[in-house]
Amino acid sequence: MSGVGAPDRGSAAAAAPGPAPAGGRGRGPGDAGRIGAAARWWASRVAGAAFVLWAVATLTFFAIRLIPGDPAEAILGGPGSQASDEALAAVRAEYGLDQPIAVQYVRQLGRLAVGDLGTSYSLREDVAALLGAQLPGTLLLAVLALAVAWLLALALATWSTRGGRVSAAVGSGLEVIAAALPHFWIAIVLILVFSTGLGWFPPISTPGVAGLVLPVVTLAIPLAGFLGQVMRESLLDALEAPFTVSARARGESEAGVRQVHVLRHAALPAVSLSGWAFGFLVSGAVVVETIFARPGLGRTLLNAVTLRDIPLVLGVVLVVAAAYIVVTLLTDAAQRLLDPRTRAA
Amino acid sequence: MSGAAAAGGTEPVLRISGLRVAFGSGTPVVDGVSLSIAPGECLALVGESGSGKSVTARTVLGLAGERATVTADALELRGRSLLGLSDRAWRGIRGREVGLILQDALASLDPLRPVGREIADALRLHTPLPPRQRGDWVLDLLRSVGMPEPELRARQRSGELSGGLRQRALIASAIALDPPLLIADEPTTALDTTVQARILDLLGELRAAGTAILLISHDLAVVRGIADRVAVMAEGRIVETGSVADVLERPREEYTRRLVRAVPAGKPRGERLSADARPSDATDARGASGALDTPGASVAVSARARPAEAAASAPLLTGHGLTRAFRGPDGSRRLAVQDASFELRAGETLGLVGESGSGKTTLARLALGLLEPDTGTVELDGRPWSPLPERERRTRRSLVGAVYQDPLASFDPRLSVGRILADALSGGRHARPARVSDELVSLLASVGLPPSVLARRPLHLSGGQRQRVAIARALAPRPRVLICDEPVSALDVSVQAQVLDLLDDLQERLGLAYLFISHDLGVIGHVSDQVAVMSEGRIVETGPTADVLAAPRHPFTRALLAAAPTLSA
Repeated sequence: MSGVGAPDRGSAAAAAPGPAPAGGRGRGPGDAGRIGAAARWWASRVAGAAFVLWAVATLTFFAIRLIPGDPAEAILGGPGSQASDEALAAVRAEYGLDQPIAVQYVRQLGRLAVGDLGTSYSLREDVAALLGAQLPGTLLLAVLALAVAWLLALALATWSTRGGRVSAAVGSGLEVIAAALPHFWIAIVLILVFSTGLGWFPPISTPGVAGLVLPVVTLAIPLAGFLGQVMRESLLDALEAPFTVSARARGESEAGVRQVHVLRHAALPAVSLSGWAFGFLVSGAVVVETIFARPGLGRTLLNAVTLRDIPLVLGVVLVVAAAYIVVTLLTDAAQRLLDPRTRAA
Repeated sequence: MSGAAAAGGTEPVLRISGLRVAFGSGTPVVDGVSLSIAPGECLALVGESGSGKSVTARTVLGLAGERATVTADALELRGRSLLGLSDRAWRGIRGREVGLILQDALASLDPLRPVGREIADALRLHTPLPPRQRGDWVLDLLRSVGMPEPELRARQRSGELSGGLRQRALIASAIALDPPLLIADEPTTALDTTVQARILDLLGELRAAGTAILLISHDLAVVRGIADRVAVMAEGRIVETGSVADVLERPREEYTRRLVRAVPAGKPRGERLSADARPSDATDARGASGALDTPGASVAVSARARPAEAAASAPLLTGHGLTRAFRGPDGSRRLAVQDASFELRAGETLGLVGESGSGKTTLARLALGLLEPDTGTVELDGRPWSPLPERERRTRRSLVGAVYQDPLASFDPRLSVGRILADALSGGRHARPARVSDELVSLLASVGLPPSVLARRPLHLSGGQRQRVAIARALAPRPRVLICDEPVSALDVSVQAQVLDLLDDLQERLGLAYLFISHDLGVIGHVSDQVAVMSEGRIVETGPTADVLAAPRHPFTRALLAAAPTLSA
């Protein structure tokens, strides 16, 4: 029995009331490396994000050139406007459309680099300023919907894994139905019940909290279905894992097992889904903002596409792409925070 | 907190009488178990999986499960009845009065949290200590279980520690409050032999300090090394109980005798470990369906002259100076296999033994031609085998088969056994089911399985049946060499015995050559004609099995032999 560091029970037991002062818990040699790894991770992510933004700008720039029709005519009110040749030439010169495409591309990138998104054809206003006014509303809608979806999913998953077989079946059934519901249908039902019927909330989105409730709930319900399915699955896995047996054998309560161990495991896949969920919410916002007559990026995009307002479409696409990149970056960072194992890779 | 002294030595720490545990309305899983453990005593509960060992142990912690119905004449911990306790009362007992150590700390400690936090949880739950003092106590605990660099290790997660170190951390979390009773449920099953020996030493030291230990194990050799008394469980009942020496050397019950006989360590090559009849010839397919259910058939097998015959023939599979490196996560090159050479003849078994990470599996993959060596060559039947373009190897692929540790992971879970074997028979091409069905039945019969298995899915088979199907699949293309990578490591001793006997029968009948990989020296000693000992990528010692085991030359072989638990005292 020699050869092993003898377990000195005396010292462990004596330490019980007042443990012997052990060496400080200062940073070990591993910490410097860890900080370096974190810096490298962030640097690579930011570089990746910049690359994606450049690729999106380039793709949309050339994709727009593929649309049939003369951009100058579109600026002057479309093909039906019967604009004179002089007027067209003047517009081409003004917008630099008479330059070779490579020059136009480089200029465009140059403008984008300083945040200049051009001027809207239809509204004759600075696109950046237009979007700046619309962005907060949509972001608020998406972030609130994401938060509400998380709360709904968590509540449903927790409830359905705590009870017996009936609640499990009801829970998973609700999740499947919620995930399958289209936004426009939920919106109409909510309006019929809570506006027309009960009169609790306005049918169109007025400024203030009351006007936000129905659009947020509309967006949150299908997402809660998706997230709930994923969470329940990982919650059940974690509840059966050997480490929860260890925790219970240590004297941890059922609530403690969930708080300390299980929820973190259950949240992991849902966190990584949240980046995708944000994209889902923005596309859902197009429908929801239209139905509830709520100003925002979604409605702006819909109008811009209908009017062939190319700078505005480009601007919305770039802003949404940028927002998507930021959200993905944030979910990746949250993932690293929650799951230290991903830091090693 | 000092349980041993207060109990006065004679009063048992744990006393169970007439314990019954049933789930739902089914038959009881534990049916009338009685046992007691004194302070400083280690009682081993042994038996096959499903015999009710773990449920008995979990009941002592009140963790048998929500649907479990527990009744007992007595269930007492230090004189206090545990029957009908509230949740709150149970939580006061768990961790403080009873500690639990599970198999494989990788999964038994939360992989997202540093082990120090996990250990500190026991203190958070049972003491009013502030976090800082808990941290200091955790370091003391880690030192007491022999953890090197405790300050660093406390901040690492279980996935960052080696198997032995993380098992130490798990033990530290179980003994944090110095509980008078420790339940160790297969505490060394996932560990290498030398690491296992050190963990058993640690448990022995705890026992010597007065802790009562309820050890659950299917490995009788482990039990022999540490337990004072043994209780043998079968189908929810204790069939035999007594001192270790009595039960293991003079077993009274047939069930115990089967268990003892199934231990391969120290049994010469060819001696049968299981009581099952030998599966009948493949030609007598239909009659073989019940072969496994007839126990008590002839056990004695005449000593074989095979090794001598084999030595005369030319080697079938040879490796010359094989080296293979991998790039580590930090970019450095690590030599997984270094300058390894081996020779394998028809009808012969070459046992490859070593600890995890020693390069055994890499060598197996090199031999299979799944991995190209950086330097060195492999020859099959006198012709080049690797390195070689896969196209030139493909026509001869059927000559080399493989059997892995976890057959479930190597089967497509959606396919039936029939489909799995039909695919193997046709070499991946789709064949007409009607034409192959006779072949399938005889293939199954050759591994001792009835034709009814064909329609089932791997998930619904027992571990032993799965491994038989895996062997049948490997045999389907009529190979001459089988590479067996830890084929019995996931199996119970008694099932392991049946599979080892089956492999032996097949070798004798078909003249197969086996490259048999295991970390278990007992298994290797039983199955091998030749043995190769691997350490840190090198084959450090090789020779006839009896010679290597009797007179090991390399220090690593000696350490491995010293650490291997055996049934003999």
